[in-house]
Amino acid sequence: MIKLFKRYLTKYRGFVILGTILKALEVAWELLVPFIIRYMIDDVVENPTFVGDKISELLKCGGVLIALAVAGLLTTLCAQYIAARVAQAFGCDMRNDLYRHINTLSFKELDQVSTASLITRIQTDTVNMQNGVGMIIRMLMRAPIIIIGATIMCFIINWKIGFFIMGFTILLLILIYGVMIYLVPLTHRTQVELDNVTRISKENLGGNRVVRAFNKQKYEFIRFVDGQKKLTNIQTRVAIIESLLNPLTFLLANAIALLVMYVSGTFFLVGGITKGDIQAFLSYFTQIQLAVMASTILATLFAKAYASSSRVNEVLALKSSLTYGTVDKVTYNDPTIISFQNVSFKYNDKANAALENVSFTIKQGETVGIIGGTGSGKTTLINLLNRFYDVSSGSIFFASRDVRDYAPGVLNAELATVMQKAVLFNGSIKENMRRGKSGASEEEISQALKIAQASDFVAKTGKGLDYEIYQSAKNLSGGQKQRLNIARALVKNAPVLILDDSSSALDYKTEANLRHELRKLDKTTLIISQRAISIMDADKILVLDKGKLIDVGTHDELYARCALYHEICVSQDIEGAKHV
Amino acid sequence: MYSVKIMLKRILKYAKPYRRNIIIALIFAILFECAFLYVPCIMGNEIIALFGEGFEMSQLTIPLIKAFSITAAGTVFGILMGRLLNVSTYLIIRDIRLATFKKILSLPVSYLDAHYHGDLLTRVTHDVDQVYDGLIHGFTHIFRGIVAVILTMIFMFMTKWDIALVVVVLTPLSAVIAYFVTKLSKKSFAVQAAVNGEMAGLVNEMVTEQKTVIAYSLMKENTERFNEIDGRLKTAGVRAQFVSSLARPTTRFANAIIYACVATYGLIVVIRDAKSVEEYPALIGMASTFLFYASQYTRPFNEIAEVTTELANSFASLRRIFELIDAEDMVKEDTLKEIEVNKGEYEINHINFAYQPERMILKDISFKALQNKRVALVGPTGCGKTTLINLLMRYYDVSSGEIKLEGENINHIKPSSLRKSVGMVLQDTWLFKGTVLDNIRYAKDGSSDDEVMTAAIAANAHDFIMKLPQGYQTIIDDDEGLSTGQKQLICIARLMLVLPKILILDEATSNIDTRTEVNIQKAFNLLMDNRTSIVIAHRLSTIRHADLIIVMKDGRIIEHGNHDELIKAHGYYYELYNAH
Repeated sequence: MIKLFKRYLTKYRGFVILGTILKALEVAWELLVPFIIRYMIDDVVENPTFVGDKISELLKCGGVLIALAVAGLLTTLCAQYIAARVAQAFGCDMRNDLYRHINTLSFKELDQVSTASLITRIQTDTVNMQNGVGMIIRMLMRAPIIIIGATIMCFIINWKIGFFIMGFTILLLILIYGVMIYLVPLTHRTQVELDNVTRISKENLGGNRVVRAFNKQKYEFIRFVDGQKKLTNIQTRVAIIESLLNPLTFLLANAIALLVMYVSGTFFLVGGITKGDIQAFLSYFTQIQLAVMASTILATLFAKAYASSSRVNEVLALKSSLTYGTVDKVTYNDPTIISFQNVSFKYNDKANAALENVSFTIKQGETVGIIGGTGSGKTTLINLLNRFYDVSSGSIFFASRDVRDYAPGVLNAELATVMQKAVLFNGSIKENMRRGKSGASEEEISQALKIAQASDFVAKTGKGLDYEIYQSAKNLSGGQKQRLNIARALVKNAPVLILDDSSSALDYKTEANLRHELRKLDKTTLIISQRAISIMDADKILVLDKGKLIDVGTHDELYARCALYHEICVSQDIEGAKHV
Repeated sequence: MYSVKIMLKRILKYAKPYRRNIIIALIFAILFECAFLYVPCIMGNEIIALFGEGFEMSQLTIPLIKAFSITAAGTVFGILMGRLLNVSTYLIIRDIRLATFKKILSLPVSYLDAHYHGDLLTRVTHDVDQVYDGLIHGFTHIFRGIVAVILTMIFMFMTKWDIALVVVVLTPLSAVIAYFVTKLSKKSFAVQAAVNGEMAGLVNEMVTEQKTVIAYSLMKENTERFNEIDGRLKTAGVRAQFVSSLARPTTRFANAIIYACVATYGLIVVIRDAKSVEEYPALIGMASTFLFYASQYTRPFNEIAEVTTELANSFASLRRIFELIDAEDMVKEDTLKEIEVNKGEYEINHINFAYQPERMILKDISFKALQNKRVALVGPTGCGKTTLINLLMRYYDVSSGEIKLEGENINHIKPSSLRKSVGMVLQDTWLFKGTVLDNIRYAKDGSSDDEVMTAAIAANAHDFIMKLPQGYQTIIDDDEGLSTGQKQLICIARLMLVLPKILILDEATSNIDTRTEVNIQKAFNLLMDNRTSIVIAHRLSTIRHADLIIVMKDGRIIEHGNHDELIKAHGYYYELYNAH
C-alpha cells in the first residue's frame, strides 16, 4: 500500500502536507477550549482579587470560544476539501493507469486474473483506496494529534494527573485493539459462511427447473437452513463481542475519572489543584475517548484499503509478454497469405500443449475449414493468428512476415475475426456495425447484414439499424447475435475473414444460405466448426485432434482416408461425396 | 405500493417471536443511557461541588461509591442489552432470509425466467443484510439517540432550567445543519452514482470482451471514452466526498457554539446566583455537569443523521424483499391429484401460449405422444420447441387448450406427481457443488453407491468419471471442472437412476466433441427404449428414427408424419433435409 501511496501521492505532496497542517491547526483550536474554560473558572469566577466586571470578562471569553469554533470550522472545511481533491485525483490517476495497463496486457497475463475480478479491481478497489486516502487525511491525522495534544495539555496542568490520563489512553487502546484482533478471524469465517449461503441460493436459481423436476424443494430448503444457521451463529457471536466495546469503554472511562477525582481530592487539600483544572481534565478526557473510538472506524477502513491495494498491485505488477516489431504496413507479394511453421503452444507452463508442432499454409482467396472436437486446438489456432497470445515455439507468418514483426494493431486490421462467443456492445445496431469500421455507410452496413442473413430480423424490429441493443445483448436471441457478429466482421471488410464456430445457433437452412453468400465474396476465409456440414465445401480442411494437425485435404480425400474425419461425418449423418 | 408504515408493520411481525427479549433489551438500553448520563451529574453536582472551604476526604466516599456502583450497573445493562438485541435481531434476519429462499423454491418458473437471477440473488443476500445494517441497527441507534436526548433534557432541566433553556434554544441549529448536509450529500452522491454506473457499463463491456476490443482495434477509442468518464467521475467524486465529509465538522461546529454559550452563561449564572463565596463550589459543580452535557449533546443527533441514509437504503431493500416474498406462488398442490403413470402418454389438444399477451408463441398445437413412441420436434430456432417443453413439464401453464397426461388434464395433477413420471434432460445442464456421487444421487434419495454407479455405467459416464482426480468423490461444480458434454452425461445418469415412464430430451447443438456426442447418443437410445419420448432433435439420425416428426415454424405445426411421409410431401421438411 505504501508503494501505491508513494507512487500516486507524490504528485500531491504539497496538498497532503497542507492538509496535515490544517488538521493540526483544527485540533489546536479544540485543545485551547478547556484552557479557556479553566481560565474562566479559576481566574475570573473564583478569583477574589479579580479587578473589573467579571461578567463582561466572561462574555469576552465566550466571544473567544465562538471565534475558536468558527476558526475550527473554517480550518476543517479547507482540510476536508483538500482531502477530497487529493483522494479523487489519486483514485482517478490510479484507475487510468490500471485501465491503460490492462489494455497493454496479453491474454497470457489476463488469464491469470478473471475478468470479474479485473472489473472489481478497477471499480471497487480503487474506490476503497481512494476512501482510505481521504480518511487518512481527515481522521487518521486527527486522532493521534488529539490524543498526544490532550495528554500534553494534561501534563502541563498537572503532571501527576497527566499520568492517569496517559494510563487511560493506553488501557483504552489495548481494550479496543484486543477486541478487534479477536474479531478479525471471526469476520473471515463470516465471509466463508455467507459465500456458502450465496452459493446455495445461486444454485437454486440457476437450477430451478431441475430442482422442480426432481421435487427437491424440501431437500434444498434444509440445505439452506443449515447454511443460514451457521451464518447466524457466527454473525451473532461477532456482534455480541462488538457490542461489549461500548459498555466496557464506559466502565474504564468512569473508573479512571473517579480515580482522578479521588486523587484530585488529596491534591486539593494541599492546594495543588483547582476546580478549573479538574474541569479541564474531564474535557480532555472526553476528547481522547472520542478520538480513540473514531480510530476504530479507521482501522476497518484501513484494512479494506490495504486488501484493495494488494489486489491493485497484483494487476500493475503483471508485465505484458508481447513485444511488437516496427513494420506498419502489410504487403501482399506472395500468394501464400498465412503460414504456420512448427507451431506449438501452451496456455501456461503447467498445462498440456494446446497445439503441438502444427504446420500448414493458406493461399489468398482460399476457403479453409477447421474441424475437431472440443479441446482439439481450433480456437487456440485463431487466438495465435490474432496474436492474443504468442506461440511457445515455431512461427506464424502473415503475408510473408512473422506476426511478431508488425507494429501494434497492424495485424488486427487485416483480419476480421468472429469469435465463438457472440459479443455486441451497448448501443444501436448501426453503432455496433460501425465498430467494424468507423464511418461505414448505411449501404455498406445493409449489404453486410444481408450477407449475414440478418436483414430480415433487423427489419422486423421496426427500428431497423437504430434498434438499440441492451447490455449483453439480452434482447437478441443467440442466433441473432451470431449473425450480427458476422455482419460486423463483414463491415470491417478485411482481407481475411475468420469464423470461429460462429453460426452454431443457426438452423441448417439459414446456415446454408450464409455459406452460399460468403462463398461469393471471394475472400480468404477460415471457418471453424464442429459440424462437418459447415466446412465440407471448403477448398481445404484441417482436421485437429488434441492439439495435433492430423490431416489436411478436401472433404472427399479426408472422408476416404482420415479415420477421425470419417467418424465425425458418420456421427453427423454425412456421407461421402453426396453433396459435393 | 409498500408504504413505510406497511413495511414497519410487517417487520414487527417478524420481530414478534422475539418480542420479549427485544423489550427487555430496550429497557436495558434506557437504563444504560441513564447510567451514562447520570454519572457526570454526580461528578459535577456532588463531587466537584465539594471542593471548597472545609473539604475533607471522607466526604468523597459516598459520592464515589455511588458513582462507581451506577457505572458498574450501567456496564452490566449495556452488556446484556448488546447480547439480547444482537441475538434477537440476527434471528429476525435469519427468518427473513429463510422466507426469501423458501419463496424461490415455491415460485413458478415463469417468475424466475422473467427476473434476472443476479437481481433475485441480491434480494436473498445483500438486501437482507441491508435490512440488518439499516433498519435494525439503525432502529437501535435512533432509539438510543432519542432516549439520550430526552434524558439529557430531563437531567438538565432538573439541575437548572434556565441553562437548559439555552441548550434547547440552540438545538435547531444542529438539526438544521444536519438536514442541509444530508440533503446536499444525497444529491451529489446521486450524481456520482450515475457517472459510476456509466463507468461500470464501459469497464464491464471492455474488460469482458477484451478479445473483440483487440480484434477490432477499439483500444484507443475506448481509452478516450474511459478518460472522459473518469474525468467526470473525479469532478463528481470531489463534490460528493467533500459534501459528505461536512457532516462531522458541521455538527462539531454546532456543538462548539452550544458549548461556548453554556460555558459563558453557566458561569455568569454562578456569579449572579452566588450570594457568598461559599456557594461557588456547588454552582461551579453544576456548571461542570452542564459542560459535560453540552459536550455530548449533539452526539445523538450525529448518530441519527448518520443512520438515516442507511435507513433509507434499507427501506428500499425491504421493499425488494417483500416484492419477492409476495410474488404469487405456484399452484397449491393440496387440491390436486396424484397420478399413476402406466402407459406414459401425452395428449396435446389445441394449445395456445404466450409469455406476453400480445405475442403468441405457440398457436393451436395438437399431437399425441403414444406409449413407447418417439416424437421428434424439429424447426428453426425460436419456433417454440423449448416453450412447448416448458408446458409439458408444467413450468408454465397453457393460455388455452389442454395437455393431458394419461388422459388427465395436467392442470389437475400435482406438479410433483407429474414430474415424478416425466424425466427431462435439457441442453442447459445443472450441477450443484458436491461430489459426482451426490450429484447423480440427487435424482433419487437414498440410492446406494452401487446403484449410482450402475446408472453412470448405463449413461456411458462411468469412464470419464473414473478418470477424474478422485473418481466419484471428485467435487464438481456447475462452472468448472467438466465440459458441457460431460455435464450432460451426468444429467443422463440421473435419469438412469429413476427411469421415468416418459422422457423429454433436448439434443445439444454444439460445443460437444464427437466422442462424447456418440456416448450421449448411445445413452439416449438406451434410455428411450421402451419409453415414450419427446425430443427436440437436431441430429438427422434421431429425426429419421422417430415415429412422429413434428415440424414447427413460428409457433405452429406446419407438417407432421414420419420421415418417409414428410420427404414424399416435398414440403418444408424436405427442403430442410436437403439443405444438408
